[in-house]
Amino acid sequence: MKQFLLNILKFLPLAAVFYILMVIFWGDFMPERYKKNLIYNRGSFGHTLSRLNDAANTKDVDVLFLGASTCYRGFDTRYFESKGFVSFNLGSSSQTPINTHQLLKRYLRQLKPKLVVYEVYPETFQIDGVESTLDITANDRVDLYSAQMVFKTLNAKTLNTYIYASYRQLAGKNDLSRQPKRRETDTYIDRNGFVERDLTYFKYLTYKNEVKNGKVIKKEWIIRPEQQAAFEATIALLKAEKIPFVLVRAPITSRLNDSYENNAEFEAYIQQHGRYYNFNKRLQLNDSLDFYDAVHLNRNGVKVFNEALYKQLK
Amino acid sequence: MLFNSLDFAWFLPLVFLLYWFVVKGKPRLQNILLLVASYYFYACWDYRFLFLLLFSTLLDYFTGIKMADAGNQARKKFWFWLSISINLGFLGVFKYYNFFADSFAEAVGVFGWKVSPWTLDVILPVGISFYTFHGLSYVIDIYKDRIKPEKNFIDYGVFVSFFPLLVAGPIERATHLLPQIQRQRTFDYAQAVNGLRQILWGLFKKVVIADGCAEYADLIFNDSDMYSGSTLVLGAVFFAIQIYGDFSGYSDIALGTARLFGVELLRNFAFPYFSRDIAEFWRRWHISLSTWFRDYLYIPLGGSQGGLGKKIRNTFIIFLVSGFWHGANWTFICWGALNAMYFLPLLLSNKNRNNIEIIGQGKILPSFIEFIKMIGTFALVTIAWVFFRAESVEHALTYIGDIFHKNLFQPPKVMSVLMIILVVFMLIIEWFGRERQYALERFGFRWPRFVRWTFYSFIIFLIGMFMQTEETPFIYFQF
Repeated sequence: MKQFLLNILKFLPLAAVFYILMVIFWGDFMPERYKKNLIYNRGSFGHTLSRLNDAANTKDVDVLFLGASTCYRGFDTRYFESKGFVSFNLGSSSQTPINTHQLLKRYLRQLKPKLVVYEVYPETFQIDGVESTLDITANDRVDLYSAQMVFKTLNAKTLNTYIYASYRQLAGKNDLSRQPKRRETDTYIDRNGFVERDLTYFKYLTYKNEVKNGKVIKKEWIIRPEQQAAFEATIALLKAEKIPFVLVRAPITSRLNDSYENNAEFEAYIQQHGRYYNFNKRLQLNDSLDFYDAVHLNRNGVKVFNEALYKQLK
Repeated sequence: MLFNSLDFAWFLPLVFLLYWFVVKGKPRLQNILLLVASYYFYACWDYRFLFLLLFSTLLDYFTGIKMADAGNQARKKFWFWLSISINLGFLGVFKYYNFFADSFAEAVGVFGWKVSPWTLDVILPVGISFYTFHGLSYVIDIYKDRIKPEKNFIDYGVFVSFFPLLVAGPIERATHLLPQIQRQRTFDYAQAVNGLRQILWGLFKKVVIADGCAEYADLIFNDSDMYSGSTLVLGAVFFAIQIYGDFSGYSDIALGTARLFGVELLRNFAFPYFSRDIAEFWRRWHISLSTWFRDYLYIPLGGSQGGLGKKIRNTFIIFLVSGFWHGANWTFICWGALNAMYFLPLLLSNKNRNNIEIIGQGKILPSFIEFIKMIGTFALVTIAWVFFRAESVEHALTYIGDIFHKNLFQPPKVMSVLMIILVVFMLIIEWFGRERQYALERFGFRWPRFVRWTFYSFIIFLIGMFMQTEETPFIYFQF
């Protein structure tokens, strides 16, 4: 038995070193189609690179926005600026409560917000957070916080990407710290984190997943316990730091929203944790005219939503 | 709990350390630990069905003792049939009831009668076919006076529910496993290392090969009417590799895990795709099930003895029952019938035992004739797998028909060079390991240890780089 355990202890470091070297080699030299579990997209979709770079260089904001793409595409920092408030949008693609918690731990004391607006889209409570971890790992600096995030969403993809991102950072290969402001139909608003999409309208033809035989498919939000725990940890962190916060649900198309049967249940859960505004109920938006897809507001929708939010916060 | 989950990655070392450090040298305590661990392992899937497992175990344990204590044949028979009927009753209710109810409704519908069958809305308890067959073989062996009943409930409980084999086999026999559970177990370095190697190879076959092929097989089978003949061929081949990687991978992990606890389970796969005819294939595929049916069904029916009619009847019975064992669906029955048709000509011409030895034994490559036979057998098996995978018999027939009617010779639309490279890598390792119990058993043993360990590390890297990151259950869990 002693020999067995001893050999395992000898083998494991060898395997670990070999694994790390192979991931680096694979990341540097193999074509993308052979990198199934190494998703290193720096400076890609969602402008995360520019946003996190701006976050690192921003201090003392009045309002900090948190959440997924519904956040960085929904809360227009320019609008709040026009009202005299310095704000920053720290949303990122598919950001789940696990990711939000880690990002907040890293940036909260530096940004020192006077108010946090946390967008609680239920979808982010029912996914594993891997997509967002990959996005943040590739675009932010690698440190203890990102290691914690990887550990909490551990799988082969997050681990490999973390190894490769660490190597790139250590080797000084991350020379790119910003990305072009314009990407396809998106424009990144400098120093604010907000992303504006060119005005387009939502067409139901692209609504295949929600409709079958002309009828809306009924479903339920299925909340993951680990996301629930991370959400509660975020609330606890804000309370510990004595930072006021509001929980907000940005509007999604009514047809998508109504297809979920347990919205009230989710809402009841969120309401237990703080002041909560659900703008799906407060605003009567038009699915076609105010959205560019089932989940995201277009320019018209963003304007209406931000005005309503500002009124509420005032 | 799945073998390919993070939960299992902490569960196994924990049980291993408790087994060899805390209760070492105390077989009774070791067995209690294994029983508790096995029930926990099962409960992680669905604790509500633990009662079924416990009931099945208690039933066979007590009827086994009652049969041995019965003073006369009539009482013995009573206990025997009680056990058999309850075991098969459970299997029938959970696995086959809906199939019979629906089939009955369809059959009377032919005559114009409309019947709305009352169907059960229950999920199939995972592993029910496997642990029921464990119990059945035990009861039959006692009835036939082949073994004495086990008096120790813990030992018997471990025999039925030992966690490596609990949910998808191999289907063990009391004569093979019980003596190992009863005896003192000492740690064997070579056996444990062998176990780890086998787990590594099994994991590779499951999470890289099977899950990777599943992605393409599902894509093609789910929209088969959209694809060309050549793509459909590729889809069928992907499924053939998927089901082999999935089930043999599971079996390797199960056997390797058992070895870590000083237990040798029955071999379940012996490189079946390197077979030269269907008879050889069936001696190498799901061996524990094939031999179970041989011993408890085929031979009692008369086997290959007797007249032509009896041979044909027995062959069809065993293959149809084997198909039906896999699931309550006509596709499985057709799969069984097709294999029976493949097998019969060999049996009737006394050629079913022509290929007993390992293909190309002692050589690097097979002969040209052997190679052609191997490809031919693989093609036949793959055609049968189409029935196994298809949604319905009609779908399977359309799928096979479309292979020949829709551009068989144009390049496939769905093609993954990466997946093909990985499959070829697996086949090469398997080919060079085909004379062993499993592919990695002696692979690289002439190399310096550092090189061999680097090779194992490379397999770990392949797993990390190419595995499916979503935990996907093993196909045979549904049986």
